Amino acid sequence: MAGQPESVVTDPAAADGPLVVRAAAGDAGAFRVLVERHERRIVALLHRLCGCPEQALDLAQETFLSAHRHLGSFRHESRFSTWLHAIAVNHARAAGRRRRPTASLQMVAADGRPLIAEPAVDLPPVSAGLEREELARRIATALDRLDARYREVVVLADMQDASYEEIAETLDIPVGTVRSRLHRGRTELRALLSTP
Amino acid sequence: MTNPSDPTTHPPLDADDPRISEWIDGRLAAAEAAEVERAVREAPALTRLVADLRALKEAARLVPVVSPPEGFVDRVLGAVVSGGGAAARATDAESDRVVEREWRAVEAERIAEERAEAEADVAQEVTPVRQPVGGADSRGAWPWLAVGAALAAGLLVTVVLNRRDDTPREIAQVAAQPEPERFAADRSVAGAVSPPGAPAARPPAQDPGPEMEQALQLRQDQSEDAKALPAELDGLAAPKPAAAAGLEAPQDRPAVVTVESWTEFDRLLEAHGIEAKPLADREQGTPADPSGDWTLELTGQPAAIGAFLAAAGEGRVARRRAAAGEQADKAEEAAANREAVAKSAARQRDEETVGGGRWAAGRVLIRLVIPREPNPEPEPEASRE
Repeated sequence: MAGQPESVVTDPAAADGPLVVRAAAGDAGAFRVLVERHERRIVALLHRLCGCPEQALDLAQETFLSAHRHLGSFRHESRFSTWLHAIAVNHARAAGRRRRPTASLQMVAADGRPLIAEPAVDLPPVSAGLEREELARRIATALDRLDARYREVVVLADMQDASYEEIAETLDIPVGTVRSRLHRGRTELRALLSTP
Repeated sequence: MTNPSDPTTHPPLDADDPRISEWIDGRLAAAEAAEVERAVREAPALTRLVADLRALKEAARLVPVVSPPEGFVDRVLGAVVSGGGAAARATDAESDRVVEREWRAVEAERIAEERAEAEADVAQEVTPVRQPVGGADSRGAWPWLAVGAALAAGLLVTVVLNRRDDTPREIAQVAAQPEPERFAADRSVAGAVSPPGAPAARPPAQDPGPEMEQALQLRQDQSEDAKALPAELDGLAAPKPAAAAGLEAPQDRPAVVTVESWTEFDRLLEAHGIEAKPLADREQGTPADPSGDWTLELTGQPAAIGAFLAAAGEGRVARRRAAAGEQADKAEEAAANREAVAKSAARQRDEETVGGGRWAAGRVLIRLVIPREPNPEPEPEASRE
């Protein structure tokens, strides 16, 4: 199950342009190639975002269907993979609305500013004494408790190896927001991992 | 450690500083990376934070994920061919619509939050830069400056074009309208309270010969009575008809009549064929001042004037003026009075026209003028012949 990180920026993605044009023109073979190129990354992304393998597969299918329906609106101003990731994130968000709301760990200060949860006790470093497999499992669990805004950025940056700029384009937010959200997401994830 | 008193040093790095993650990701420039590295090395808490975040980043790559099963591509393409799996989603159509509405609402909220967050980030990151003089901002202000200047110019032109200039109008009125006609116009404005001196009071054309002879005769007959008058009444040369008993207002001497009704006063003037000419008196006010006294110059036959004053009633000598030099001053005073009356009449007309004001009843000083006998008309050539 554990796989190598899937990068948004891949060499095959650079050659997606002609395939997108052909697929938009009704070439099913071209669309098949596109699906084959991106299915692993999209499924992995959705699995990390929603936490459920079955739902991730369904959402991946919906993602490709949506992409097929809107191929004509793709303006080739960004990578096809980035556009596909954006569709997948939107489907994950929509699915997250359907799910039972989960408790948020986010703490809010009196002025409404979100606070970063700090460890209540002096924790040992998360890397000490933990097997990497165990740590990865705990991270997956903690991700589900992380605020969706931070989870998306952390998943795209640390699990999908997307650059800050690609994340900003995928989520349609400024790069500065990506910076702040990524650091805040990481520190919150650290706090979640330190919580028994 | 950084020295707070040294402006070249940066403040201590906070655990919330996004540069820590950027440094971990290798996105900082060399100088900034060295600064963060030094701050992290000098702060044990930051050192441990960085170690944890590095471990998290490495471990995140190992988070298990599901792989697409065999035939996933065929499943997707089959859904595409079948119309996007519409049949499979039909049962959830209603639920999807509800979710869609909810999603849109939450999405709008999320966008607002992200916008606020982005603005906060920008406010935190962007250092104010001094705009050069005449830069883009000043160029952007040009349209507004042009609009403001155009409005100011238009306002100035409007004020200049609509500026009230009374002097030329008064001059034009004086030149165009003799005093009686002007007061005739005032009558139409003043309504029931007509100003004196209307054309209706102009005496009818008649031969004053018999009346003048009668007046001279009366003057001679009453010379004894005149001597018996008090000293203050000396010089009164006007005849004293029996109808005006008790009235001592001879020619060129002011008499006082208290006017209760200008309409009645006007009617009396007309009935006796007397022409009333208003004169302004600087000491007693002008027609523009309703509370002041009027000075009228009545022109008519002595008998008619006497009858008029008697009919007007309450007439008595108000003051007497020195006989010496009176005629010499008369022309100059009349000219000054005409000018004052013209201006006052114009102002009065404006005030009454605009404000609907009315002249109040008041006291009238009357200066009597006995017209000279008209020159005998030249006989026609035929009659002389």
